[in-house]
Amino acid sequence: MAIEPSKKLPFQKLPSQKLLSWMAVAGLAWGAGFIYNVNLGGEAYWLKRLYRNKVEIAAETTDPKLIVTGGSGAHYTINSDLLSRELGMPVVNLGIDGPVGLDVILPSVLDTVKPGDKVLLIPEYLVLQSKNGFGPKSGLFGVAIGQPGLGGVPPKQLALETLQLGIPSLRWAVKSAVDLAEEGQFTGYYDGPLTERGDPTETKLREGEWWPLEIKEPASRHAIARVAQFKTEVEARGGELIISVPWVYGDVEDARTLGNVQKTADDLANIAPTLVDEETLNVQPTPELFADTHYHLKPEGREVRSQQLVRQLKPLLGER
Amino acid sequence: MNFSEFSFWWVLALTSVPFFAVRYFGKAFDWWRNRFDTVGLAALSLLLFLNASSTSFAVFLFEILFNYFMVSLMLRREAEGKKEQARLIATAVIIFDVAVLAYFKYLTFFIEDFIGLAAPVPPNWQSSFPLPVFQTIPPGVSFYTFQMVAFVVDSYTARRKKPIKLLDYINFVAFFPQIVAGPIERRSKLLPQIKDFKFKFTAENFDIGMRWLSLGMFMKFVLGDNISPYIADGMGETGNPWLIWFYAFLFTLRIYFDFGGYSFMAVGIARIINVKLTLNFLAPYTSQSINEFWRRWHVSLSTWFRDYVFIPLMGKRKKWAPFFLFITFTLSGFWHGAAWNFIIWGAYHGGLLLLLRYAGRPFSRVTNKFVKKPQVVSWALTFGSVILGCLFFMELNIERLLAKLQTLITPWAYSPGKLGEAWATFNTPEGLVLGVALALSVIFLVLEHVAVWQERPEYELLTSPWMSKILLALTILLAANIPADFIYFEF
Repeated sequence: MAIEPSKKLPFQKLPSQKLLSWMAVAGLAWGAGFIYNVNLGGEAYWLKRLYRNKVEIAAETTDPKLIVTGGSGAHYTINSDLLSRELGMPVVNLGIDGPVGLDVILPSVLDTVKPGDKVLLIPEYLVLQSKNGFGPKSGLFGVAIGQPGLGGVPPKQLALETLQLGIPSLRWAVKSAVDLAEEGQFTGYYDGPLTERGDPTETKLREGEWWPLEIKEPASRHAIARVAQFKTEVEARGGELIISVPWVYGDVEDARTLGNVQKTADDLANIAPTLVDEETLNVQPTPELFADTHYHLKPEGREVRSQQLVRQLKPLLGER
Repeated sequence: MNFSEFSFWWVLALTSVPFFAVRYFGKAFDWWRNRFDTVGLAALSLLLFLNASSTSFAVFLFEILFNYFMVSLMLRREAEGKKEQARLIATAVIIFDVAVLAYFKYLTFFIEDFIGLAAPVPPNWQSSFPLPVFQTIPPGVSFYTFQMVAFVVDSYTARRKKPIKLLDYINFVAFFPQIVAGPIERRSKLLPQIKDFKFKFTAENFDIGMRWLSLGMFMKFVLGDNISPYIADGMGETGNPWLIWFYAFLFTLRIYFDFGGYSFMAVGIARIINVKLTLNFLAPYTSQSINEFWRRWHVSLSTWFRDYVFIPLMGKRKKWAPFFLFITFTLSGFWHGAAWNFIIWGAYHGGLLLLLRYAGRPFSRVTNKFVKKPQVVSWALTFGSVILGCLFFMELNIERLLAKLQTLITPWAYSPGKLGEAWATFNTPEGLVLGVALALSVIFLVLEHVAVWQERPEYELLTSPWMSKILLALTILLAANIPADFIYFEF
C-alpha cells in the first residue's frame, strides 16, 4: 500500500530538487502567513500597531510626563485627558496587552521614560501571577516589533511563537475574508484609533454572562522581583515608579480573593508607592462599569477610575 | 509521541542536530561505527518518551527490561528443549503485561463500576487501597503492551528462534514515531527493519516521508483540530435529534482525522529514516459494509485482536465463530477505555457484524431489486451505522447517552422547528469557520472515494506530488491555533 513515488512521478527529479521543492513550499506558505500576521491583519499586526502608535505618542509628548502602563487592564481603564487636566501634566496611555507578559511589557516601555517622568504601572492579576513573567504572546510581540527575545523570552517559547507567526489559522483566515468582503479591510481587537494620549476610542461590550472574578493567587515572587527591578531601571533613567492595584469586577464575598489582593498590594507597596482603595481593594461588586472583560471599563467607568487615580496621585506628585 | 506538542519537535531538533553533526564528522573522519546509529535511535526514542512523560518512563523502562530478559530466557529454554518451561514463561510474561495495563487503565473502573454493581464501594476507597491509584494512564501503555504481548507470542511460535539483542528490542518497542499511539507493529514486519539499525537518509525516503507527514498534518491540524471545538460545545445537547446526529457526525470526522492524521505522521517520520510502518487506516469511510470498515479502520489493532484474541479464543470451535467475534469486538471496545460506553460501542460493532452475517444477503437481494446503485445504499447505511456508533464512543456520561438515544428514537422530535433551531446554532461567523472545515473534509473524503472507485491505493491522490505540497501549504496556513489533544492518547 505504501506509495513508491519514483514510479509515479511524471518526470524524474534530481534528489536535491525534491528536497528544495518541499522547503520552498514550506517557506513560501510560512512567509505568506508571517506577512499576513505581522503586516496585514493578524493579531500580531494589531498589537504591533498599538504599541508603535503609543511609543510614537510618548516620543511626541513633552516631558516630564505621566506614563501609564500595564496590559489591556491599563489601556482600557483610564481617561488620560481627565488625568492630564486634573494633574496638570501630560499623560500617555502605554497600556499594551496582558498576555505579552510582565517581563516583556516592562522593558518595552522603558525607552520612553525620560528624566522627571512618573511611571504608573497597573498590572492585571494574571500578569502578576505568572511564575516566569511571560505570557502566551511574549515571543510573538518581540518578533512583531522587531526585537525578538525582548525581555529574555526562553528560546523554546520564542521558537514556538515565531513559528506560529507564520500560521494564520483557518479561524483567522475566514474572519479576515469576511472582514474584507463586508468592511473592505482587516479588523482586530486593537484595531480602533487612539486618542492623542493613547487611549482607546472604541468600547467593546460583553455579549456573554458576567460572573465575579476570583483572584486565586497573589502576585508571584518572580513578578514582585521583576517590578522591583523595573523600579531601579526607571530610576536609573531619572523617572519615578508608582504602582496601582487594578480595578476588577470580582467576588467581594470571597475571603481568598480579598486576601490575595491585599497580599499583592502589600508586596507591591514594599517596592514603590502603591495606589489602592483601602476599603474596596479596587474589587468592584457589580459589572455596571465594566465593558467586555473583568478589567476593561466603559468610558464612564474610566472617568470614575481616573478620578480615583487623581485623588491618589495628587499627594504623590505634589499640587500642580 | 505527541506530534501536536511543540515540545516533541523541540527535543527532536535539539537532540538530532548535535547527534547528526557528530555523526557527519565521525563518518568523514572514519571513526563512526554503525552500532552508534543503533544506540542513537534507542537514546532518541527513550529521551523523547522521557520528555513526553517522566513519571511513566520508569514503568516503561522496567517493562522493556522485564520483557526482554524473560523472552530471552524463554528462547533459551526452548533451545534446551524445555518446551513446557518456555510455555510457562511466555504465559507469565503475557499475564504480567496485561496485569500492568489493567492496573493503570482498569483498576478504578473495575472497583467502582464493576464491583460497585454488586456491593457498595466507599467513596474514599482509593486512600485505603494498598497500591497507588492513577487517574490518568501512562501514555502509550495500551499500545506498547499489545506490541510486547505480540512479540512474546511471535517469538514463542517463530520457526527460527534466534536470540535478539537488547538494543534491537528497545528500538522495536520504543521506536519513537509509533510508541505512544501505534501502529502496533509485529515482530516480522518491524524487527527486520530495526535490527542493527542504521540511519539511511535519501531524497526518495525524505520525499515519501514528507508526503505522509503532510497528509497526516493536514488531517490532524487542519481538519481534526478545527472541527474539535464544536464537538466539545455540543456535548450537552440531548433534546434536538438533528443536533445530536450532527455532533456525532462531527465526532466521526474528527476521530478519523485525528487518529488517521497521527498514524500518517508516524508513517512519514519513520519513512524519513527508512522505516516502513503499517498503514493503520485505509480510507475507512469509503466502506460499503461493517466488515469492510473494520478492514480499513485501525488496521493494526483489528489484526492484533484477530490474531491474538479471536483465533486463540475460537480455536477449533468454528461453529461458535460469531459468538467469539462478538466477544472479541466487545473486548476491543473495552481496550479503548475503562468505561461502559466503550464496552457498548464494541458490542454494538460486534452486533452489527452479526447482523450483517445473518441478514446481509437477504437485505442485498431486496435492495438490488429496487435500487439502481445498491452500493450507494450500502455505503450510506455503513456510514450511518458508524456515526451512530460514534455516539456511544464520544459520550462517557451514560445518563446523557440514554437521553440522546431516547431523543433519536422519538419520531416527533424530528420537527422542522428543531431543524431551524439546529440551523440557527451554526448560522454565525463561527459556523462559517466550521462550514469551511467541513467543505475541506468533504473534498478530502471525495478524493479517497475517487481513489477507491478507480481501484488505486486509497491515498494515492492525496499523496501525489502536487497534492502533498498543497496539503503542506494549507496546513501551514490553516492549522488551528490551539491543537486539540490526540483522542487516542487517552486510551
